[in-house]
Amino acid sequence: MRRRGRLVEGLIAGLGLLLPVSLAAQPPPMSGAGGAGRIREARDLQEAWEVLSGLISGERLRLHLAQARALLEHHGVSLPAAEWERVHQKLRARDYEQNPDRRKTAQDELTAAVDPIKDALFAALPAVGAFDAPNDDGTKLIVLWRPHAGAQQYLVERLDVRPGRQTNWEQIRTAAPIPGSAFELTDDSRIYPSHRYRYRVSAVDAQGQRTLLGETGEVTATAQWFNFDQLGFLIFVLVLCGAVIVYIQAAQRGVRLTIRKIAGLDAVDEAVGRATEMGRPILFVPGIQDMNDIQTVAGLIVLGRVARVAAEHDAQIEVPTSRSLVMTAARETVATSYLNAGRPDAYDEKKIYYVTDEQFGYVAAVTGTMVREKPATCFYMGSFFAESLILAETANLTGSIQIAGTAQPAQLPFFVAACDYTLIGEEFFAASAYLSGEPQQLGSLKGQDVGKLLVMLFVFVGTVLATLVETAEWRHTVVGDALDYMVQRVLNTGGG
Amino acid sequence: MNPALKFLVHLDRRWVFLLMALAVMIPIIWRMEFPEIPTPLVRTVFDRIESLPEGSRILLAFDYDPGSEPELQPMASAWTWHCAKKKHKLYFLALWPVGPQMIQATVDSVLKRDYPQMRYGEDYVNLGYKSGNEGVIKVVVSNLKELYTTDHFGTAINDIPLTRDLVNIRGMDLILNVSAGYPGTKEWIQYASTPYNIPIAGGCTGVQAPLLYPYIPNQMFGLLGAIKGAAEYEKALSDQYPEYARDAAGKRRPEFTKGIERMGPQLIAHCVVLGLIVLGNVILALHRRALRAA
Amino acid sequence: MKRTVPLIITFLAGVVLIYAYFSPAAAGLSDLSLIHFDILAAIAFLLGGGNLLRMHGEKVYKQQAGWGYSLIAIVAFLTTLGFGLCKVGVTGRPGYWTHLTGAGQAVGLVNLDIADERHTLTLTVRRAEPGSTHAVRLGQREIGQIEVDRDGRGDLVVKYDPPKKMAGEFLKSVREGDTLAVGALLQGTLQRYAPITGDYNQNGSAFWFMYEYGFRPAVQTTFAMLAFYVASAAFRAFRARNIESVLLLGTAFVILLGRTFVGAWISQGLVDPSQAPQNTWEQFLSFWYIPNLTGWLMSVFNTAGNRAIMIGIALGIAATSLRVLLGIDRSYLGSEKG
Repeated sequence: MRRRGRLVEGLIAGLGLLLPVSLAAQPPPMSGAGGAGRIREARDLQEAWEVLSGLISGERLRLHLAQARALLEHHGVSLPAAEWERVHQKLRARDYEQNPDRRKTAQDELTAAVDPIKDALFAALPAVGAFDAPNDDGTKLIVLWRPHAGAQQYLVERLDVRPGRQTNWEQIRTAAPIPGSAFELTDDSRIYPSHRYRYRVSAVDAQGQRTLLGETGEVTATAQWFNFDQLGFLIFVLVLCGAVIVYIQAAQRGVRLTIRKIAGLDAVDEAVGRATEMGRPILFVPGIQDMNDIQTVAGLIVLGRVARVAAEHDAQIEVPTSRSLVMTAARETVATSYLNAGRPDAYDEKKIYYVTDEQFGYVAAVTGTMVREKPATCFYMGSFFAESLILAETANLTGSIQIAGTAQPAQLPFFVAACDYTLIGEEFFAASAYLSGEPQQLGSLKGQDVGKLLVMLFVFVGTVLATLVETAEWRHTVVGDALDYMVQRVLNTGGG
Repeated sequence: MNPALKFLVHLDRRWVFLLMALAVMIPIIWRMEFPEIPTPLVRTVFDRIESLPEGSRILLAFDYDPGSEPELQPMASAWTWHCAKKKHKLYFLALWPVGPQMIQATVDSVLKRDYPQMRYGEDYVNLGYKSGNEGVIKVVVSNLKELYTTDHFGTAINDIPLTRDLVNIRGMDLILNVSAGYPGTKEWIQYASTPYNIPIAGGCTGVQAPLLYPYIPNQMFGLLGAIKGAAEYEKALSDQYPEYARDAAGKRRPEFTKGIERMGPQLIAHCVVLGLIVLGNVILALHRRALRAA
Repeated sequence: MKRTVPLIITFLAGVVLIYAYFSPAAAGLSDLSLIHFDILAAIAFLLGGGNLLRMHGEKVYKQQAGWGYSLIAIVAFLTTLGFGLCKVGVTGRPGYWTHLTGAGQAVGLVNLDIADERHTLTLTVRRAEPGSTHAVRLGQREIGQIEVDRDGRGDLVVKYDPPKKMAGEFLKSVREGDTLAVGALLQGTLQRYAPITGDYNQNGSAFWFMYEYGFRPAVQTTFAMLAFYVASAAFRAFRARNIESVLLLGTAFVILLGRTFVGAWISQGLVDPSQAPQNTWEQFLSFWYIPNLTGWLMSVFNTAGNRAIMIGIALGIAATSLRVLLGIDRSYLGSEKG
């Protein structure tokens, strides 16, 4: 009871991290004194250009609108409150528009409502600006500039600032004019982390006359060491992994964990025993993907357990593989299982062989083996695609007992219809822990359940909020705000 | 036990295979076709393309390969024909390496055949394939020219009238994606349509369709699922435009009605499977009764 | 040591990949790890191929049951490998090329690539006199000028591209044996590309022939067999033994009917599919219209089930990966503690 209590406390503390840590991800306060309508301080410029870029792209509009408002007011530019209210109304209207035909109109209205804010921000900024692209590896910079009347083409030049070395302006891009839009260019050609660059943009008119629109200050390409957009996800991962580790330790200390029965796994011993009695082999198919697929690894883990039981029961096990690396790993696994069972003499490496990488060539070979050798038991544990039903039906024809496990949702119906036992999704991943019976492995299953509880909680809360917003029309209340926060920040869906 | 019942209880599955073979062969040989009624999901897509004003920009993303061509080509052709009929501007691209071949095959069999007046670069353009899966989508929603500096044939993007002024795909009026797997409709929805409110309709294989239903109707307004969806769309098209399915002499145009053609064997096969299910349950009931009597 | 080193590698690789996901600065590490895996997998091809040959070879040598099939497998394997490696039946890349040589130390290379209606002639000169300009002649015709930069290097590209209205139509008439000269500096005679420059699966090559007429029909036939297996699985599995199987049976019925014209035909009396329902009663009837019922089953039950399974799978993957990374579960390695 005390251990459980500590566990719950730990989880609450973990969840409690969500709030302050996500607050910590908010942008830092602005520097410099408020100017009279112009943004000049380097740090504020950087932020202003990022906010403007966000308003242009339409990503995370709520956040960028709030930042734009704070920036403008701090620098003495005030827009009527009605303007801001209008934008937020249009934003809500777009987000909640159910009718697909009206959604584009809602988007256009929102864009039109944001335009005055973009214009106000542009007016407070220089004509041309550049900033380091957020959440990148230091190889991208973003350049923005205002449209110039009469321009037929824009030329963008870059200077690589190297102290002590002479460098020249280099033309990196040309851009055609787009009416009514600000320009944003991502420069990722030969940008190096920690290098400093300057940009200048010129407009060329129909007569070929060139006008310099402006030149930016120095901007440094910086690699970000953490992508704050993924913060919510990181917290969830830490909570999940923490729960798994906590339960593993609890199991090691002797806490009794209850795992429900999984019929397919309880039948493994019976299935192997059947093979021994009938004097026929066991066929184990570890899927058709390579070792980089976790389903294949999970399949090989189950193979280890099944091979040990087979060795103990003196049954022959045959493992045709679709990938060479899987063959190598499977041989190691089965050899060790036979060794651990005290039957190294019974191990035959020729029974674990590579067939072909080609999906249907592989299944043709395996079904041929089934028809000729008539295995008593067939295991399908891994990643399968279209060949799943061919395998299952052929084995059914030969009278084998079949136990399948896969995490491919599209193949599960075929296995359920054709096999005697099917491990669905997470049951397949739980198989190795279940079969081993080791406390630390069982502890990981309980930890996994914590993740599921969290998901269920989010689903429940989100459903209630969404239902209230839709049916009680509470979208303009705190309920609507809570739903927005959940969708935009917690689920990190991006967009507005 | 009755010998007939015994035969049925131990029915060799090769009888089932034979029935299935006949169910597929006979409709093909006799060219059996059945009426199709477009379902709401298909009708929605049709109506949307119909209602778009002439000259609308449509992005056609063909993300499939020759393996899924029999199932997906009919819908790709039907959509291309419909969009050309409505004089929309067509932007083709692909996230699969062999996608450009599918695009070119569609252009050759549909546009060059029925719409020879359509000019490449002014009415349609083939942007080709770029590697990067969903990474491509993430770039083209912001700055298409960052990735596509030329079209599939090597012509500079800025030299093509249709793409000269195109900054990104957010200005598209519609995305029509034909998808056989990954990357496909799901990625287009997640990275283009939902964040930037670009309407999208998908066409997919039968196995994929259940995985795409969660996106309907908020994120994807319509779906053509498998050959049935293609057949329904062909029916809707030929109802509205008789010249689609039949030539001037009233003769059927087989290249544009592959979906309807292939539904013949599918219908008979489905009926055979239904019959087998019923038969199986009858056998079960009779067998249980015989065992109880014994 | 034999078990510890792989565990350390697994742990480090896992941590690096997780870190690379959250850190843009380290994103390149993720690509690097994947490339390393591809290299390993490519080398493993040799292992697999060798094992295949050994296994079948032994069967043939000992004349075990089915040795004839093993012989066919070996012959097919070696033939395909030979056809591909030796590019049997491959005609060279379409176009011409030549090395340009002269009395001095300057050298050059010219390539003329022909693709459908687009021809591109690329001429490169090296170690020529810096700042010099030379006329380039193809046969008797001057096709351009080459300017040598201060590094002694000059390039010229001539294109024939009808869509872009690029001239250069004369490129269509170039033949093997034509002479190309760069002023008085260099000259060479155009020759066809050697067959080895072609693609191994070029249309008409032996490899392509085996693929198109041997391999693809076999694959498509095996795939088509699924239709028969679906029928036999349905016949065997969809029997009303209990409540769950009755539900499964009923759903299968509705979906099978709804995905063909039959479903619409037998329920057509319930609703006019061309019109939306006008009142509650019509809405109720419209629900039972089989295509609509199919859509409802797919979008409600199927969707809910799929979502739940996918969430469970994702969590299962996370827990299994954690066990593997931390070395708690090592049986895939053949660990002694497995």
